Amino acid sequence: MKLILLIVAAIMIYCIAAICMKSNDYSVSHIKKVITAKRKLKLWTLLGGVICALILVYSSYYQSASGGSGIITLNYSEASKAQNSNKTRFNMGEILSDEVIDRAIQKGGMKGVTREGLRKALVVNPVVQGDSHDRDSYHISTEFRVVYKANKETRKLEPTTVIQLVAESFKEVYIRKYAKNFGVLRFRAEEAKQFKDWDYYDIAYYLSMRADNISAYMSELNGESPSFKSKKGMSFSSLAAKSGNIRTELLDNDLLAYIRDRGISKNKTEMLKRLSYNNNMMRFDMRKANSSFNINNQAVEMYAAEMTRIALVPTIDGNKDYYMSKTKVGLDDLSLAAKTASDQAQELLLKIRKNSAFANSLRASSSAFGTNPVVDEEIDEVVQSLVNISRDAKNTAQEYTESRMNEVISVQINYPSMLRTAAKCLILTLLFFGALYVLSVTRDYTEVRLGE
Amino acid sequence: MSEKEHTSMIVVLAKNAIEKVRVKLSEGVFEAVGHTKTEKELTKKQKAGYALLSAALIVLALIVIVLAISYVANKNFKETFYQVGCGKVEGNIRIVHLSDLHDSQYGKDNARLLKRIRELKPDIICMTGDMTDHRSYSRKSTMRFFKKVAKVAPTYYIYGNNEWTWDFIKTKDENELLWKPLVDAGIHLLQDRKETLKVGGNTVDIYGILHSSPKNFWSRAGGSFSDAVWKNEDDFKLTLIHEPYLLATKPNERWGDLVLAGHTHGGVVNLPKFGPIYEHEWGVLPVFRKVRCFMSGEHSQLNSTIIVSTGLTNRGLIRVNNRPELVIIDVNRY
Repeated sequence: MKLILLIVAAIMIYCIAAICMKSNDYSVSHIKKVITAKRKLKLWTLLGGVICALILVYSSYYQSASGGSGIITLNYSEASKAQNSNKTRFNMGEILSDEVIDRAIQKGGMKGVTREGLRKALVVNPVVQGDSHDRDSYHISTEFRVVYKANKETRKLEPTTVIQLVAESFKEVYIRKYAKNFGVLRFRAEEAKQFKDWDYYDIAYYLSMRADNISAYMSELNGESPSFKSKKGMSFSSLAAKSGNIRTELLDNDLLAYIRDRGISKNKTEMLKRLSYNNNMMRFDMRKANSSFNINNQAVEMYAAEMTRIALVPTIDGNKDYYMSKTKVGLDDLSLAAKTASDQAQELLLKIRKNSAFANSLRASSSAFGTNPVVDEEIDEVVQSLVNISRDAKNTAQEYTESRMNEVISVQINYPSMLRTAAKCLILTLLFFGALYVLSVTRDYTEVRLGE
Repeated sequence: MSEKEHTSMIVVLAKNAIEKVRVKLSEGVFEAVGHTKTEKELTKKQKAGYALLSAALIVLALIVIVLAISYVANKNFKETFYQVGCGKVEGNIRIVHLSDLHDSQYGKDNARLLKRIRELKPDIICMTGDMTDHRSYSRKSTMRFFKKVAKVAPTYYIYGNNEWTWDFIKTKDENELLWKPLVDAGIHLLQDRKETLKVGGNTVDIYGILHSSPKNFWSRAGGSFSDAVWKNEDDFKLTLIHEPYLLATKPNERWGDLVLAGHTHGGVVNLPKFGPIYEHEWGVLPVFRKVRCFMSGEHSQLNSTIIVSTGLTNRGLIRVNNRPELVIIDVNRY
């Protein structure tokens, strides 16, 4: 296109010079008069125009078939600090990492294209290039332009497809790397097959742990986005409450209470041994916790009165409001440690009592071995409830992370505008045709002069 | 008048007409540049006539150029990649979607098309109708292509209006029914029914609609369709339909997680800024007029992603700014 403009300029300069030299009249009005004089339309000018149009169409097609670009935008707050969504450092090179390139090649079924070949055809740059040496023009870009220019190896690929595949691959790799893992939420009915060799007490504890996991995860996500609702209308708080209910109602109050009260076990002797061992270990831990509580209490008493005074320091909170902040003193830490130790001791004591009660029930129970159909049925019910809640929790969390992560990276591909290309070709063709017409007029004018 | 005389008379008349046009054109062009007459000598009416004629010639020349370029461009198909996010899917399911081939040929027995499908390594191949035309001279070649493609991956086929009309209305000969060679080729033909397959760790329920006329769909297939969509909700639901009109009639219906359709040919001629110029159900410039329609590309409706292929045909009317298309869809959790 630049070449056409150059040729047009050269022809125009030549024509103006020729007219001036032949007539010895250098005035603009004379040149204008010669150029605008009506002359025969020469066939070669028309042919020249057509050839120019064909060359332009071909070159436009070739250009659009050999290169393209797209913009990848990072839409999360940490991006403005050059960080990933998990606050690790973001590196622009990740956009063209081995993993991304390999994935793009595999997705596009690009046979005969190597990782290096495709990488050589791609360049990534920040859309706004700042200057790290100058504070005023220092800029952290959140937009990156991926430019593709076909080389020998990649010449058969469509540029927009390549850009799209690379951008999508980067998005996938990014989400896989930085999105939350919901594997912990998955609970399939098949998992219950492993319960065959487990004792009822262990099964109940395992199921409790799974219900707790789901509940904790949902509570955490609820803290992150309390207003989120899935397409099925589920919120994290309702799911946390549901899994909490499974834990308290179906497991603690129902299944575990039944097992403990009735002293049910698949192997009574073995279970009694384990309970005794567990209680011994817990008693040991409880003694440690009690000692810790006593030591911390003694330390509190030993703390000098003049060291417990609190200084109030004026400060501002996140909303820029003033408040008087208390300075922490060592006494606070000691009190907290004492309380933690006390709570731990209490908790262990409760567990020991429950185990002891269970052990007593077991000793009183008549059956020593075998399964219990009532407990089996209750376990099936809990498993089914957990399967359902885990599926809902996983789907809701998945939906949440998808909606969030899909917004994290957006891709815009610059498709060549057909209208703009056509307009460009038309304008250049008209310019070229005009230049040829002026050339033909100039030649005619010269002939007339020579004839005179 | 004998047939010979009749023909020669037509030739003479045509020659005269061409000569008249030639004279008029040359007068127009040369007079317009002031060769035989000066501009002042031309009447206003003549000037307007010449301007109109010149404009018409330019437009005609442009149309011929655009059609020629399109004709050449349509000799090959483009590839359109989509990525569909679905929380139900673990890993990736790759679907290659073919539609409206109308017995077009990309190499002998569609060898080029087959090669690309193989290279793309699909998990499922879906054909959403009008792949073959009845009594087309290259139908046998298309059938050979089907046989080969069915070996690449499980292939699911639904009838388009062409196949449906042939099998259910036109043909009376059992040997000419289309479903037999399709089934023999190893293709899963879905006619208002569901098939389930496993891809990786995922269960995919594919439902194929036999005839997508909104008039009798619900009475004919409503039950089996609802069962396919609403039962086993954890499975990935894929619905195949030829004409996308039905989807637009019930926007609040659950059509599946992914719906694949064809039929529209993308409106055949696609004008920049204005979109497809015509679709017989949705009228002139449907996208530009913002008519609720699914002409091509990806759409979202309720919880469904709808992808409409512009089809693979390069026969019949010349497609402009709308190359034949092979659709590749990656379904994953992203």
